Amino acid sequence: MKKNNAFALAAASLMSATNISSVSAADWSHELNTFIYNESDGRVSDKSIKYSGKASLNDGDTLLNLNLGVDILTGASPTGALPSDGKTQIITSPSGGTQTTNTSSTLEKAPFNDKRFSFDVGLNKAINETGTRANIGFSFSKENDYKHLGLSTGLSKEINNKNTTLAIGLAYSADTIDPIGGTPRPLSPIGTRKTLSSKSKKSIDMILGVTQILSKNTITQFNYGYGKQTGYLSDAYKRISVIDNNGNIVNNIHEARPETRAGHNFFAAIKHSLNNGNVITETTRLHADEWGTNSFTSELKYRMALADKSSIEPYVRFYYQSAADFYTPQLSNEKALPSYASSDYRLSKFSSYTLGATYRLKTSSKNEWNLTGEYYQQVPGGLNFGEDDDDDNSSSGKTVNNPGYSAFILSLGLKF
Amino acid sequence: MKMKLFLISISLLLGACSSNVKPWERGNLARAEMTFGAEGLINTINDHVYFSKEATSGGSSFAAGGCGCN
Repeated sequence: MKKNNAFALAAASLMSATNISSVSAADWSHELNTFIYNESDGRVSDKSIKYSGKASLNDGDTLLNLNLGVDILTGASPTGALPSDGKTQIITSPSGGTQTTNTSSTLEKAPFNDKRFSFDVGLNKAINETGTRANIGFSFSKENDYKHLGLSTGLSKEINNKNTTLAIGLAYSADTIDPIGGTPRPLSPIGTRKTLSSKSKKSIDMILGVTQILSKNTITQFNYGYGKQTGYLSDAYKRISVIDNNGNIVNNIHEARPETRAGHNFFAAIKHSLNNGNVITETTRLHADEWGTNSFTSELKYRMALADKSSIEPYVRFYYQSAADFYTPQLSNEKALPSYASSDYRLSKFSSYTLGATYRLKTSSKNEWNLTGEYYQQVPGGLNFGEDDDDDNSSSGKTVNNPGYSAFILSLGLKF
Repeated sequence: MKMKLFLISISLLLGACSSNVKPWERGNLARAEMTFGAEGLINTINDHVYFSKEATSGGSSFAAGGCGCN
């Protein structure tokens, strides 16, 4: 009860400008979730707890939502440099200071230790009697070396006897990156002097959406999204190896990415309820951007009732992306340095597969437990839509820098 | 090719707009599992994992943002 009142109080300050007189604890619904995420080969591990609160006021006239999250991140992240055949190297890591690491495994990795705190709040309100709603939101997150501030707003309108909903949304964010040990100059050798000033990154996003009822049992959604990021888009901790003709590492240098990135998303989703009440959900997304990281994503879920109060929802997801134009596993010392280069595995050409299931159990009219287990596998390469294959990892004598990896998520949630 | 697919999708959508399901026929559509974006925190978590590990994100809403993800 005490906690509910605290949330109501937090929301009250947001609503002071919206003529909402009061919120009682009874108006709120809550969700609490804890999860662990673990990658194979001693890579990233995340232990997290998240809270989501929602309030529906004046018969749904006003909707409030509040999200809080804390993540504890540990492990080691691939630096992008090639393995140096068992030699010991000094690495400046995201957790601060220098770390000595033996690089005899297939990847050079930098250990790190970070905490992430995130918070966002939103208000969605009917602004007339004909199905027009407006929303505003604010988001904030902080890590040791990263701070995010975001604002969003949007409008939605029901038409066609409420069979169709049109929506538009805009979002702006201003992030500050303050890498441990300073921000390296692009393509500068590891260990050389760094600039100490923090860097900023700004993002603008727009989304246009249509949600359409197709029948008593089928609903679909189409979105188009445009986003543009400007500023420091490189990763200060990533490095690239420069090699000679024999494949020996001559030098390791910092990466450099372009300072703008604009992209488009086309998203479609459909939900269909079968005669027995089970629900099929399919979503598909196409993405294209000026870095050349084009992607295709498809996810299929099937929610089956097991009994009156429980259900299980298995799902599969497939993702494929092409490599960024400036992605390269390594550079040659016989060629001039390019303007931009990164060997971050996340910019390489790869596919990923997710297999998971969520079990839900209702214990009262308002309370529901959910348990999710999920397996994620990322593999280099994948589909080929006829693009050049020169982004493969095998273009020189050295070994790959994205051998792929797997991860699992175990999540336990309670709605109350 | 992608643009063609998009235009076909829009045409299908506009064709579908002629459907007119009455309010009293929407009991099934009112269920939480038939509402887009109502899956709760597990979707937020998954979106953030994908945002951290893949180069592209977003689509159903704004991209999950705000991290210098390792």
